[in-house]
Amino acid sequence: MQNPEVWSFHEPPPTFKTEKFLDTQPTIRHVEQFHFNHLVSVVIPDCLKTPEQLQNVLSIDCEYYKVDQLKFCEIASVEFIENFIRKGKLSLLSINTRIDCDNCYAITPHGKLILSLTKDTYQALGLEGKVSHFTHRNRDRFIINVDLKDGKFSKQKLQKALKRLPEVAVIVSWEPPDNTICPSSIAKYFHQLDYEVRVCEPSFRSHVVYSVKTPILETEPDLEAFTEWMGMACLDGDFSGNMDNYVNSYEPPEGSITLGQVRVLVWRGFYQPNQVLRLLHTLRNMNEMWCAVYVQGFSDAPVIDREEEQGFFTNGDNGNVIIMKNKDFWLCKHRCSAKRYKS
Amino acid sequence: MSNYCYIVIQLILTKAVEVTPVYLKKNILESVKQLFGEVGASVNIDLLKFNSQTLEGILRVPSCHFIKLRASLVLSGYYEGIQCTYLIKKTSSLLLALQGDSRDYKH
Repeated sequence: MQNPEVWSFHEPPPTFKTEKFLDTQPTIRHVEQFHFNHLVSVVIPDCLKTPEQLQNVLSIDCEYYKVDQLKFCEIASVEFIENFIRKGKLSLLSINTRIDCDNCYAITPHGKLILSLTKDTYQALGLEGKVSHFTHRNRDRFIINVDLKDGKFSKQKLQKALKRLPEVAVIVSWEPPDNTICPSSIAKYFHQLDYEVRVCEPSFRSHVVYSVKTPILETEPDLEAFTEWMGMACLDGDFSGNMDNYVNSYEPPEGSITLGQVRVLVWRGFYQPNQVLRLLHTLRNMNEMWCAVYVQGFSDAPVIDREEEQGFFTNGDNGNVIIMKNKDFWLCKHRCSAKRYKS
Repeated sequence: MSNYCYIVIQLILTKAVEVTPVYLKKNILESVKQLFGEVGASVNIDLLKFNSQTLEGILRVPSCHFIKLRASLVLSGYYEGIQCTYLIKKTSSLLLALQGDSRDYKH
């Protein structure tokens, strides 16, 4: 009997695209399209004390609200659409729902309602949608897209359909159209409808990695090796390894120099794209060497950026790495494999 | 992308003993060897971080051997003669992504 093939098992390949820009605009565009940001980490070389202004940028005025057991039909009411979707920017995401087996809901800051539903729920709903990219073969997940801003849909029909969805916990944040309106208006609105609303604050931690070989990012840097180094710094990994070490043969990229300290800051919460842009603006020209930011999305959001559908096989890690060095910007986009699986 | 895959593991032992990075690496290599033989165990596996209190660690492995290492860890049953299990907490091809997952974050 022929020996079975045991060597060609491959992990589904993720994508890692890098682009270099000489201007801030393209970077801003990419950040704006990445709707749901969960984790932001910043690496600054040769920085012992965190500037207070930087620490506050994603800690103050970044509160969001958690609404428990929301009847999803509330979001199709005329009052909600007029006051919160058409004015300002609203981000809403269902939590404790898994994209690979549950129903997941989201509203993007552009006013798009996106429902990622199991086959049973979809068929009971009666709204028009399309089959999910990941389940083309067995057709057991469907995506419904409704543009809440353009008003071309029937509110009654949508509300009636959404009434059939089970209650769900959501997190929501709203950016008002002008400074005279408080962002907490969204919490008040749900509170008046007798929902339990809780304010959530982002978590923050920071640490310093001492005496570490740091890449200097020359003209054509190896960005894969750089992001790996960034990961080691963020996770406070063991930098003492070398090629001959039995336990750990990790070595920083070639051309690294030893620095006294590297500062790592990590925030976790629910961020709108504008808040990430505010961070990038604060970081610009902050360090002479370079500054790097990693932004990770939610594993269970129905969309990654624009209309790109999110899948989940072994993980849902989609993120962007933005590196700023004087006037140069590098953007690395890491996306999970978009492979369709046989089932 | 990507040359490597990263795995967050936790060693669960039925009897508390001191675990050092060197012995952990030896045990991981032994389990790969048991399942895939000498050639399978010749792959470079690195222990990038290890906490001897919680017995949690981060492994790095070339992408093409990721599934083999994971299979070996699942089937590994003994650490220095003590019954054990390797709990695989998260895997990713981007090391930065191991900082946290929105799935287990409490809002």
